[in-house]
This record gives sequence, structure tokens and C-alpha cells, in this order.
Amino acid sequence: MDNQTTIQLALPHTHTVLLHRIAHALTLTDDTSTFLKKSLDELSALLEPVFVQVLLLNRENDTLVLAAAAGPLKPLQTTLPRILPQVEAALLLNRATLIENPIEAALAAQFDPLATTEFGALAFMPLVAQGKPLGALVLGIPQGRSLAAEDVILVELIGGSLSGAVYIGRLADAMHRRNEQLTMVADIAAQVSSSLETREVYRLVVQKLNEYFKVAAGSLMLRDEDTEELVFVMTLEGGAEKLHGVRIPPDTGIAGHVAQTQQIYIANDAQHDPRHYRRIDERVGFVTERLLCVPMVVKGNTIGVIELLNKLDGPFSEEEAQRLSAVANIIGVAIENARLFEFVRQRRARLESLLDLTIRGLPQEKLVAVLSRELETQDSLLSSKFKNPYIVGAPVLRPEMCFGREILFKRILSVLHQNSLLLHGERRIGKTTVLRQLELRLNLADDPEYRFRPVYVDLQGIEETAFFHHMMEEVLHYFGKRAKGLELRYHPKRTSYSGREFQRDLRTLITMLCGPQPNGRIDRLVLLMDEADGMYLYNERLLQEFRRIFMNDYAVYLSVVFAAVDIHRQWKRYESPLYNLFQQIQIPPLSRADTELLIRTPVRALYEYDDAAVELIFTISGGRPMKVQHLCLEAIDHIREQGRTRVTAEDIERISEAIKGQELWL
Amino acid sequence: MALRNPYTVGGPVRGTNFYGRSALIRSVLEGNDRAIWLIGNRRIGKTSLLCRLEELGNNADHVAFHISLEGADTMEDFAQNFLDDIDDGDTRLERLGLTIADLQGKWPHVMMRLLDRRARERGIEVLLLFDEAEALIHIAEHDGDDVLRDIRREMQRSEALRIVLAATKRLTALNDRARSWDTSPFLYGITPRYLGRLEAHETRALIRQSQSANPLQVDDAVVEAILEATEGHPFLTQWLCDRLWTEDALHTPNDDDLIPDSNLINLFQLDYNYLAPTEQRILRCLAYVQSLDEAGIRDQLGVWIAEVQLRYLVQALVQMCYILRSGDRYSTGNRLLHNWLQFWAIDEQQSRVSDAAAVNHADSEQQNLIALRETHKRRLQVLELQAAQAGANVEARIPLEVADIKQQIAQLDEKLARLRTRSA
Repeated sequence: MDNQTTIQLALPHTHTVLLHRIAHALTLTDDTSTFLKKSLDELSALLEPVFVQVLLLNRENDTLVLAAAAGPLKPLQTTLPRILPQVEAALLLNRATLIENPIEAALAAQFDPLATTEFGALAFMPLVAQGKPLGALVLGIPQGRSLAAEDVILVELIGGSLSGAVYIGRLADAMHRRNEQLTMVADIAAQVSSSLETREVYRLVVQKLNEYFKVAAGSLMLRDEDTEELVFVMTLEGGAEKLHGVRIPPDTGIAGHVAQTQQIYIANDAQHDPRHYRRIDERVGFVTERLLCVPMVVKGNTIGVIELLNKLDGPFSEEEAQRLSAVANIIGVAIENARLFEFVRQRRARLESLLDLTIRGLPQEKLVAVLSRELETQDSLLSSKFKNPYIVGAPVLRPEMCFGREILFKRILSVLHQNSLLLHGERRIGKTTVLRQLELRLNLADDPEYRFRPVYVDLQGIEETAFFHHMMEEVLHYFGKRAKGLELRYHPKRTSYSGREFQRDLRTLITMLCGPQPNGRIDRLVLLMDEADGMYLYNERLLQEFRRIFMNDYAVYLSVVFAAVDIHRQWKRYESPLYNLFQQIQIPPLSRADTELLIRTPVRALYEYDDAAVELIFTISGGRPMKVQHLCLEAIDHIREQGRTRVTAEDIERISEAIKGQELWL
Repeated sequence: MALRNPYTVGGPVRGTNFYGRSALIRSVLEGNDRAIWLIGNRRIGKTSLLCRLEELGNNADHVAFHISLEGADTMEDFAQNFLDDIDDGDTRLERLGLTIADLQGKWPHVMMRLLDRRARERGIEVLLLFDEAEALIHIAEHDGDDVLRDIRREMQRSEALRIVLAATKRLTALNDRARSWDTSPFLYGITPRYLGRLEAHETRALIRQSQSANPLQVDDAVVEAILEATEGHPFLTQWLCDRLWTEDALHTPNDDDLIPDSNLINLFQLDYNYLAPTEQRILRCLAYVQSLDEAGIRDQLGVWIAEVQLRYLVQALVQMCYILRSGDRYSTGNRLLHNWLQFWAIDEQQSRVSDAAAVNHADSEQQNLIALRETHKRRLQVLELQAAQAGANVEARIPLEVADIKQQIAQLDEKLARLRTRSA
């Protein structure tokens, strides 16, 4: 068919009447689907094809999807792959195409085989707008008939109208969504500006997002600049607040990944997503099925992430992710402003209290001393944006906040080059902190003989069926690109991965990436296995398989450091028990001197402790680092609220009474 | 930079970190016994010795494979464990003209036969070092006793295989399973070799790390004090050295250093649980005295035991490093064990090993006779085959040697019958 020749032909009256009716309908329609159907019905009545269909390209532009149909047959049920040569040529060239004997073409496979005997040719008319293909109008021409030239022109002109209708319809949809989005943003902005109380802002934001995106739960997490952890500042599930203050270690889970990469993440099958961090689900008894997570970026920095869980009406779409991402940054700015306001408010309250002292006639020399200290404190706080530095319920990741473990680290580092270890100690004694600090030290160790390759593996919540897979996942995550190209049996999506496969893969990894290096050093893989108590519930045979790794020759470049509360003594198998392979080292409480360091150092130059307060903290805590930090955290918050800078024994007594029933202390 | 602590407490030792056992290594690699059971308590160094044998056993005349049976519940697991320990670039099979594909899908005894044949054809020997051989008990429980018979048969008939099983005393359970066999029990014919203490000079070398590129300067007094405390037990020596290691040197052990930690307490208890009641009693007697002779032990035991039985048990305890013999007197094996026996040992209500089994197991004389008998029988088979092939042209020496061997076998049978009567 040639466009140049068809233009010169005059159309019959029936054709022009139909064109007129369709053009009129186009001006009245507000529903594209109805318009398409009506137009096809009219065209079918006039030209009497065996079928006429409108196919529109999907979002990926690789498949034509049925949008409307008319005529006695409906031979094409749902989709038509664009990759078929005739289809691709017609769309690329934007040219109407007549396909004769379609049952002999590759196209035939896409049609109902019973219907293909009914039509002798296919007319394939691309639908185009703004130079881009939208889809096609397809007519089945009955056996023994052909389309007259004026019929072809009619089909082309109707095709133009249909393209216009589809294009306008899509534009209207986009505008509608944009409008909704802007409304939501305006709504959130209005809520945010109506309250500058940070907690209230967080609650309003999450509440609005949950409503707008129709989800079962939503969370707002902010990044702790010092520890790089993500902290749950607001989680709403069915209107109830949860998880406040819970921390996620850096680069952990989907949220950690999003915070680090600043990329949106959709997991519509979260339970099988290897990045999904199950500990949070377990903590609140929630099952995350679908998840959408986007970063909040302000001035290029990730300040936190927003996570929406379990959309109520189906999976999350890419479009929803884009929408959430667009509002996330606006929300980020609002949150940053609210945080600044909170900071200023606290300072103002402090200055007001000082003004009171002046009015009450404090002696001049005392007032000068108080003001000097206050100015010093203000300067310090303004420069550092003071945050209570004590860490409770999370491992200590900053080396300068880790006290009293030097002898332990020295011992571990002295033997790790040819030993595997079991670090054991009571709950909350700081085992995870020790492992995390060890990871840091091994990464930074400047050792002339060895280069340690520490891989931290958290075993909490890892079922035995996932044990080897989880370990290999962490090992490969550590090696990153270096492990690419190795022939491994591991695959992220595999549901079964045996101990034998793990051993094989570990042998490949260690042989290729560890051992003697060209620089003369020996690379040694160190698996830092946290929460190893969970392994005691595993089948002994699995543990035996794990132990067997150490009998292999490549194990000369491998060490394992377990951290567990206890040493598992029960062993029913005839072979050697897992635990007797390791050197056992106890993690003790801190000494009195180290406890004092942990108390005083983090707030040095800002706040002080009476000696009696330090003594009492040591007595109450028994040198357990978590308990020390908990008392200190509460003590500093307490005196800051009261505008004081010195912690007394009375403060500690009061705080101790208040918190002794809490879970962390039991 | 501070010196590293050179002692290994967490994991097997390899390469130059391995000290001692030279006579035993020589005997495994070159001796007449072709099937050996290395018996030793936990942490005595069985795996380390097998690693060392594998290092030394891959030479012009030998190909060595260290195969851990750990975690194997079936013969299929056994076979797979063997294959798992050979990677694609391994040249050991190539030396035998084999590939992994030749072994895949075969049962272990078929693999052994194939290895034996190929080794014979090439005039070399294959050293199969089976670690954690207690897994054979799981395998027999799961797959039945026939699988043990298949393996035993290959061990007996092979000519170019040297087989080493490393396991604790628990492996004797295989003999219990084989009571109904019409042939000898599984372990009969496998020469038991006890993995005991290191020689004094070997222990001193270990303490001083004399094989290291940087040997330690340790005072003689410190070395002797450590040796006196551990009596050459390789793990305990390293454990104590690790405890004494401070700031790049070893300090002299004091009484506190000789108090076992939780790791050691558990380790001692684990092995103690597998001693027979009378063996436990013998240790208890010695825990509260300096030393006793056999008569003294019998007096202190509190139960009657035949003199010969006591001798067997005492001998086994000596071999397992539990007790120390000096002239005709006995004392506990080392100071750490002594302290443990006094303060931490717990007697289980019911011991897991009977006195009769312990005596039977301890009868190494009997087992040596059986091993010798098996060797004679193998030689006899070879000679009879040669005689049959030669027919009338048989060399005169062959019938003479056959007659001689038959006589020796008859004498051995007589001795064995006497011993069995005595044990019963």
C-alpha cells in the first residue's frame, strides 16, 4: 500500500460519514476504551472484516496487548510479540502492511488455528503519535476478498483518530496521576508545616503515605550519621506505632541497600528476596510480603529511607515507586527542617532558663562561670549537633566507642592466623560488638604476612535449610566483583544449596582468591559468625558437614570465629563434635577502669559524672557494657532535660529504678 | 610488631607446625601393615597426623588421599565425601590414569578395587587416609553390615593400597555389629596403633617451635616445667603454651595455670565417658596418690578383677595417655588430667563401654596375631595362584614356602584360641 497514491483518491459517502461520526465521538469521549470499541464496531459494520482489533504496546514496548476488538471472530486472544518480523517492520517503518497468506507466516502461531481458515489476509496499520508507535489496528480480510484503495484510506484515517484518542487518554491519565501526586505532596507539606514537632511530623508523613499508597504498614527510617545505621523513627501498622528506636546495621537488608545505593527497590515477593532482613518482621510478628523502599536524599546525602509494606490491592508497580521517590525527597527536606527547629527550640529553652537565673540575682562571678560553660557547650553542640553518644541495643561500630577489649583483641589477633575460635559470653555482653570491631580491625590490619578477609555472617533467624546459602551469599557479597567469573554452584535464587555445594564453592573461592599472593602476603578468609547459638538447633549432620570443611587442605587459609552465649555440649553423633575444633575464648565483663572510660569518654568536655555516680554505675551494671551505656544514655538525657551538665549518684539511682524492669535488664 | 602466638589450639596443624610421630609416620608409609587403625582420644592429633601423612605420602612411590568421613550416613555419602575432596585440577588421579568420572557413581569398595588395580599396574602404592572413621558406624546402621564386609574384603585382598582409619575407641562398635558374621569381625586384621604422647625431645621441639623460621628462646626450666605438666600430650602442650603466652614469651606455669578451663573440662569428660567402669575406677585410684603398682591398683579398686584383665586395661590406659608408667609403678597421665580427676570428673550412671569390651579391645596381642595371620593368608593366596599357573613347572621354593606358611597359620590359630579362652 502506498500512502502517496491513496491521498489522491476521493472517499465514498459512507466512508466520509463514518469518519465524521468517529471524529465527533472523539470530541465527546472521556473514556478511551469505550471510544476504541465504538470505532471498531462502526468500522466492522462498514467493511465487514472477519475481525478488527486494536493492539497497544505494553510498557516495555516489546508486546502488543489487545485493547479493543469487533467482528464475528476474535482470533488473537491477548498479546502479539513485537519481535515477529512483519510486526516489527510495520512499527519501525510506520507503514501500513498487508500480510497475505498469514497462516504461512510466523504470525500464524499467534492466532487461534481454527480462525485462520476464515481470513485470507491481514491489514496491519501502525498507530503512531508524536512519532512514536503506540500500537496497531489489525483487520482480518475474509478469504477471497481484498481491501479497496478507499477502504485502506479509511482504515488509515480511522487509525489516526484512534492514535489521537489513545495518546490523549494516556496524557489525561498521566495528568491525573500527577495531580494526585501533587495533591499528596501538598497535603503532606501542609501537615508538615502545621507542626514542627519532629515526632509529630514523622507520624503525619507515614500516616499520609499509608493512606495514599493503600498499604498495611509504612516506616520512616533516618540514618545515624555516626554509626551509619538506619533508625526506625516512625512505623505505623493499622494506626499503631511500632519499632521506635530499633536500629538496622549499615548495609543490612533492603533498607540498608537502598540507603547506600540511593536506588529504589521493589520486592513483590519479599520472603524470597535474599536482601530481606527478617529480624524486624520477627520482632513485631509481621510477615512482609510486598515491599517498596525509596531513599530520602537531601543535598546529595541519604538522610533516611521510606519503606511501605504489603500493598492492600496487589503488587507495587514501578510507577508507584517513582511517585514515592518523588515525594520522598520533599519529605526529606521537611524532616531536615523539623530537626533543625527542634535543635533551636532546645537551645532557646536553655537560654531562657539562664535568663531566669540572671533575674533571680545569681552572684556575678557564678553567672559568668555558668554563662561561660553554657557558651562552651553551645559552641560544642552547634559544631557537633550533639547526639547522645551512648549506644544501647545495637553493636558499637565506631572504634573510639569500644572500650575495655584491647587485651581480648590482642589475644584474638595473635592466634587467628592458624586457629578458629569460639567467643562465648553471657547475653548482651557485647559479642556482636567484638565481632564487628574485629571485622574492622582485620580490614585495617597492616600485617606484613597476612591479609585477613573478614566476612561477618549474622545467623540469627537463619534456618538450617538456608544456612550454607546464607553463608555463601555473605562471602560473595564481601568479595564482590573479585568473585565474578568463578564457576560456582551458588545462585542467589536457588532454594536448595547443600553443604557439599558450599564446600565446593568455598574451595574454588579460597583457591582462587586467598592463599599466597604476588605481594608475598597470605590472604586468609575469616568467617565471623554471629548468633551461633542458633546453630545448636540444626541437625548434627549439617554441623558435621560444616566441620568437615576444616579437614580440607584449603582450610589452611580459613578461620572461623563463632560468637555464642554458650558452648553446645550435647553431641549424639559418633564423629567428633563441632565445638571441639575451636579454641574457646570467653568475653568477660569490663573491668572497673574500663567501665569508667566507657562512662566518661563519650561525653568528655560536655558532661561530667560524679565519682559516686561512676561507682554506682559499675556496681549496678557489673561492668556489662550494654547496661553501662543504658544507664549513661538515660542519665545524659535526664540531665539535659533539666538543663544540667553533671550526673550524680541520685540520678543513677532514679534511672536504675525506672529501667530495671525493662527487657534489656532481664 | 609483637610476635604471633605460634601454638595451635583451634584446628588441625599442618606443615612445619606438625611435630613428632616420626617413627609412626615411617611405619605407616613403609611398614608391613597395610591396614592400620590409628586409635586416639579426642584432640590427640589424629587429623593432624593424617594431614601430615597426606603431605608426605604424595611422592614418587605413593599417592595419598585424606578423606574425612565426617557427616557420612550412607555408602553414597562415603563415596561422595571421597570425590568431594578431589578437585578438578588434582593430579593425583591422573598419576593413576584415572579421572573423577571413572570413580563417579561407584561404591567405595569398587573405587578401592579400581585404585588398587591401577596402582599395581603403575608400580606405586595408594595411601587412603580415612578420618573420622566412626562415621562407618552410622553407615552400617543405615545401610547394613554387608557394606562393611565389602570394604573389609577390599582392605584384605588389595595389594597396592595402604589404608589408615583414624578414630577413637568408639570404632569398636563395628566389631559388635560383626558378631554374627561367619568371618572375622571388621577390625580384626587391622593393626591398631595408639596415638599417644610425643617423645620428650619432640615435645621440647614443639614448645620451642624449633621447626619454625623463628624458633622461640625459651628457658630450659620453663620447657621442663611444661613437659612435666603435660607429659608430652601434644594438644595439652599447645593448650598450656597458649595459656602461658604473654608478650612474646612463655612464662613458667604455676598451679593456677594447671587448672583446666571449661574447654578442657569438657574434653576430658567426653573421653572419660567412653571408658569402661573399671578403667574409670583405675583413674580414680590414681587421682589421689602419687603412684601405684599393679597390686596397689587392685587393692584400691574396690572390685575384684583378674590379674590379666587388669594388665590389659592398664596397658590400654597407658597407650591412650591416661596413665603413665615408670618402672612397675603407674600415675595419672599428666597434671592437667590429675587436677581434672580430682575436682571435675563426673561418673555417668551407666558407662557406655563394658569392662568385657574394654578388655577385648585392649588385647592388642590378640589383634597383632590376627593381623599377622591375615598377612600370611594373603601371601598364601599369592603363592597358591603362582603354583596353579605354573602347573607341573612350579619352582621348588613355592611348595616349601606354602607348607611353611600353613604351619605358621596353624600356630597362630592355636595361640589365638588360647587367648580367647583366657579373655572369656
